[in-house]
Amino acid sequence: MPQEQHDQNVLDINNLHTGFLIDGELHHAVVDVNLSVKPKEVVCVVGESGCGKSVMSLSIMNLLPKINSKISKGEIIFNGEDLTQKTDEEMNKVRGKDISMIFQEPMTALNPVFTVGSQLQEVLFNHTDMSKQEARERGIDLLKQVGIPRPEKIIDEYPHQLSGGMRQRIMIAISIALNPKLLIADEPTTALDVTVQAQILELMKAIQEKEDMAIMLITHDLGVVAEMADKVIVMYAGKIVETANVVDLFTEPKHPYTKSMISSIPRMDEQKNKLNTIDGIVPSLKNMPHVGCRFADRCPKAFDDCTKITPQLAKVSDDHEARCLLYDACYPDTSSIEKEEVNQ
Amino acid sequence: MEPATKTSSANAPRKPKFDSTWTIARKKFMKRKLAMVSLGFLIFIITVSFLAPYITDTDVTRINMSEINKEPSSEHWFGTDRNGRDVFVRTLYGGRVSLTIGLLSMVSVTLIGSIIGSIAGYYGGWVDNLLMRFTDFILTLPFYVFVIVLNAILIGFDRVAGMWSLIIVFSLLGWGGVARIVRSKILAEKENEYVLAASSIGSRPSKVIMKHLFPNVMTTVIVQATLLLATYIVAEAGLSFIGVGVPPDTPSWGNMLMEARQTDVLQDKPWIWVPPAVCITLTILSINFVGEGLKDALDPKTTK
Repeated sequence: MPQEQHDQNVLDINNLHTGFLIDGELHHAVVDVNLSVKPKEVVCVVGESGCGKSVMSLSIMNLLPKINSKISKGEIIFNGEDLTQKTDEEMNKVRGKDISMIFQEPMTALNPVFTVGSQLQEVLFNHTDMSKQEARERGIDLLKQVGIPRPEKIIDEYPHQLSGGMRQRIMIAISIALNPKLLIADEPTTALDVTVQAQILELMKAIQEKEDMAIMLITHDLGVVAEMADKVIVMYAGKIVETANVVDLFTEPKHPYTKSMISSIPRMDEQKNKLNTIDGIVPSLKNMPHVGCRFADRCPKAFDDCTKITPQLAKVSDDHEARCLLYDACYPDTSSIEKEEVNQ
Repeated sequence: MEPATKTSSANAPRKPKFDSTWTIARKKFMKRKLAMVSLGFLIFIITVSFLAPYITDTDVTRINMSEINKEPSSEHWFGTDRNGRDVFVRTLYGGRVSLTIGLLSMVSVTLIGSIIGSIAGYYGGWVDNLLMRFTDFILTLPFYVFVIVLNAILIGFDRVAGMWSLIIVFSLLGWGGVARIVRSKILAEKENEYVLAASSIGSRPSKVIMKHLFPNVMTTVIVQATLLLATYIVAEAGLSFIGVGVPPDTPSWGNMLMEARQTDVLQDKPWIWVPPAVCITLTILSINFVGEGLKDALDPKTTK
């Protein structure tokens, strides 16, 4: 076993850099991500589209296309083992068993030509040597667990006969089939309507408490965050810009990006003609600024230093980290400035 | 079991309430009369050809100089050719050769094309580039010229007899089209999240391709395969007709047509060349109708 602190965490990501090859050049979509997930913890990763949330989650599973992407630096420690060092063959033993994943689109995440049962059984056959009959019984059992009515019928049906909510329940059933230690849910409710969304979140929460697993929930919906999270990680343009527990994040957001996001949520108790938005979009990988804060040109509070000095993630109060030059702690100590720049 | 029973217990046999894609396709296909009739004819002609040794005990290669160019009679149903060989028997055996060439070439071409196309489409990047440039290379070769040359070379080695050399040559040169189609289908299909989802539960790439991707492109491949069957039967006939296909000692429909190159046979002795010609025409037509039917039946957009 490596360091002691790793023993208690389900997942430790240290200094992760993941990039894509564009025209032969490596552009990083995830830069210097450090995070840890404790057992039974729900960690939410938020940020708008293109922030590197999904890339990060796929890096953990090592599922990014090998041909044009690369984890160039850092380590992902799961169960005391560095997942970035594992071969595909070794990763296949982890995927679906110790870490599993739920995807955004329940409509396309199930193969249209196979019955629900055969897709449920696939994960069981991949990792155990159950007989067909056992796998079927376990499948029905799982469907019951995720609240599917008439499971012994549904197991023989095809995905197209089921509603989006049902399909997402089935995805959850597949992902919890082998009691994984970590469940990565990549925007699991984005494609569902609001009432179904609430049901699915409730279900995930219930299963999480019962099965003692940790969840890493990736979302851009702060409502979901408020509902589910213990800890929140805000990402912007591939970097973590703020980490806090859920209460602190909503009561005292530190980073201007987080503040803008929170103020963009429509509120029932306010009369407004226009919704707050954050002007501009996330810079594309090719146009990412090399120096300075990546949020600078969209930031309402930006000042001179913001485009010249790259802020670092630092503690701004107890259990609350941010990456913004408004806080003195985030100024890089002079010795590490050059190193930071060279690294990028 | 009576259809009225509504009980559904957990240990009841698997009895899906709804039809699978294949059942739906089968039902749709069965509604197409022309396709069904064609399928019936194809099954008939394939059965008759392959059961030839059981239908007649006449030796197909026997030359009988005392009975040359005889008109159809009760003894020789389709008459005899200018070497005194029974045309009916030769048509049966010829069908066996022609259909074997067509079917085996189709199977191997589809197989090679599917494997290469799937790998190229799934892995992408340099693998795709390499395989597809190779495919392009194969497709640039002038098909018939190479078939004739390779066939001549293969027949030159005495080991590969008769129709087998033609099957090998067709297989080596024909898979380019299928590979391209399968690749483009896989490219579109692999964007679906179920592919990522399958990898995320620990399925190997080979399993993802075989179990998840391929069944979703299978419909296209099946339709393509039926058309290939027709292509290779025609190609065999054409090549044999000009004398560069199946060696003359092996009867095939194409070989038999070769007789019609003589003007007197063409004009005065239709019984020698009409039977194989009719067989080829009807077979190709049927294959095309069946292919058309399959195309409609497997297309999810058609409802009837």
